[in-house]
Amino acid sequence: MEVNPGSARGVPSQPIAMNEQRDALTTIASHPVASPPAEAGRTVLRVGTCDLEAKDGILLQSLVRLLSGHEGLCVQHCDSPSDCDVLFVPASWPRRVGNHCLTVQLLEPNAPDLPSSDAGLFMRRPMRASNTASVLQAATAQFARRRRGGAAAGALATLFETMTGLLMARERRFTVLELSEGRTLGLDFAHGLVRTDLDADGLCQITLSLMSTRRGDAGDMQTMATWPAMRMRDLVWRWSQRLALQADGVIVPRGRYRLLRWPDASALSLPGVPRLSALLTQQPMSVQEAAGTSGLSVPSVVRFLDAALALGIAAPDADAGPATVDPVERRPDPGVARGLLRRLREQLKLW
Amino acid sequence: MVNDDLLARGGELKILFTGVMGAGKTTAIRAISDGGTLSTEVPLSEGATESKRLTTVGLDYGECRLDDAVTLRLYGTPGQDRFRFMWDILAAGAFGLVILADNSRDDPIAEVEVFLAAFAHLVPKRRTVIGVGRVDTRPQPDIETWCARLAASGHHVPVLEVDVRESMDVRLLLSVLVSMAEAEHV
Repeated sequence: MEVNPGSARGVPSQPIAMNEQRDALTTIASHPVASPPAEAGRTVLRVGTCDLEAKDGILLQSLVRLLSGHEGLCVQHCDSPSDCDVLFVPASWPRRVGNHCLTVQLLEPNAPDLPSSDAGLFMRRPMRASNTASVLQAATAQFARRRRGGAAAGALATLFETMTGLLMARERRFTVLELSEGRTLGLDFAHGLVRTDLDADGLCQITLSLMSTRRGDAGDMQTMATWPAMRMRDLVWRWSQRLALQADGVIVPRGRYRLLRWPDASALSLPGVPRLSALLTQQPMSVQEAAGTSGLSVPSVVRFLDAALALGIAAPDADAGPATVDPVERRPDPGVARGLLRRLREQLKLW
Repeated sequence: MVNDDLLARGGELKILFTGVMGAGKTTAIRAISDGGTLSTEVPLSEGATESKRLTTVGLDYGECRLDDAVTLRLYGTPGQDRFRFMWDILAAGAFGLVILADNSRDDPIAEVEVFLAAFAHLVPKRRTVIGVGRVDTRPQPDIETWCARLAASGHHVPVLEVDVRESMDVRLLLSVLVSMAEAEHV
């Protein structure tokens, strides 16, 4: 799969073309921040399919053309999954797209309902104009809610979503994020570095807005080579920790997730995160289960998973493969042990 | 094996620090012990550097009282290979194992694998955490490489970049260890 150069997003479920070399860099025309363009106050939703049979794709394309402009819908078909706002997928499709994309899982007529989620909807077969219109109306309403929430979450959420989207798409090309106030971030994916003229604190506490995203050229790389660099992994964790404090704009993904390995030390500095990591390395959990067991808030768990998925150390349960840690022997009567561990935490000021 | 029966009865908790000479075992124990620590350090007879002039010839010991009934005992194994016979003795009944590594060495990952193998029958990997020091001066191998190589050998343990001169980093290692133990009791 070629990651659409005009988009900051990708769908890593498809094989990624690895034949791009960095000998000659091509500047790709600036494109606006990836979001549905407004049309006379209405949002056009780009609708497509991923991993469905060809006949489903053709049918959906016809229905989208039929429905656009009717039933309050402003939709258009999109061939590139990475550019879609709404993606129709099979029933048991493990989530592999960023939170910008709303999935619609196609269920068989007698299949049980799926739990509701801000990350996805479901629809029962057969695909008809009536049920397709209903689900696209629900999607339109959900995007409207997201925009209201996104405005409150602000600039940092957009930056974070852009960077994690590029990481999930396994982007390797040097990418430039143009920020407000004339600032710039250079994302050196090949070396896992972020280069910027901001100081480290300014970068971590950033309040600047993302104005545009573009591919960097040789000149950009030469200029930014002299700028201070920060490890991209560390910045992703720092931003996720800041966003964890914001409940607005959080989209809770459906399904269960597992850590493939422990996160970096920079991720573990917040209270509760070591416990969350211990739980998720042992067994897959939903966001709600992880929050309830770890004691962290749902937004904290969601942002932790956003970062972990983007950095490739977490995966949806179906993708995670066999357990990579020793099976846990559950202890009977854990009350006494928990009490001692709590005292250990208090005495040594652990978190 | 793991000393959780003693947890139930109340008694002592033992955490073992191990690793090659110069990895920071003595420093780590001192960073979190109550009061003084017992150290069996003597000047290095050879191989001394600006930052490493002493070596442990027996063991390090520190403790931290949790309450009137329970004491956390911290043991540091001697790093020199000729004291290897003490590892089994010190590790018996340990609550957890902290392996400290020096990233400036030629193949620190291979060295840690030796410790993982040596202690595998005494402390399970789910109670083992690895702290890698000197990553700031020697960035390679990076933590991703650490995790990948250890995973390829069947070792799925936390690997954290630390500076054991900072008590916060030592407490991070213990936070992870305690979290792993708590997850068993969920």
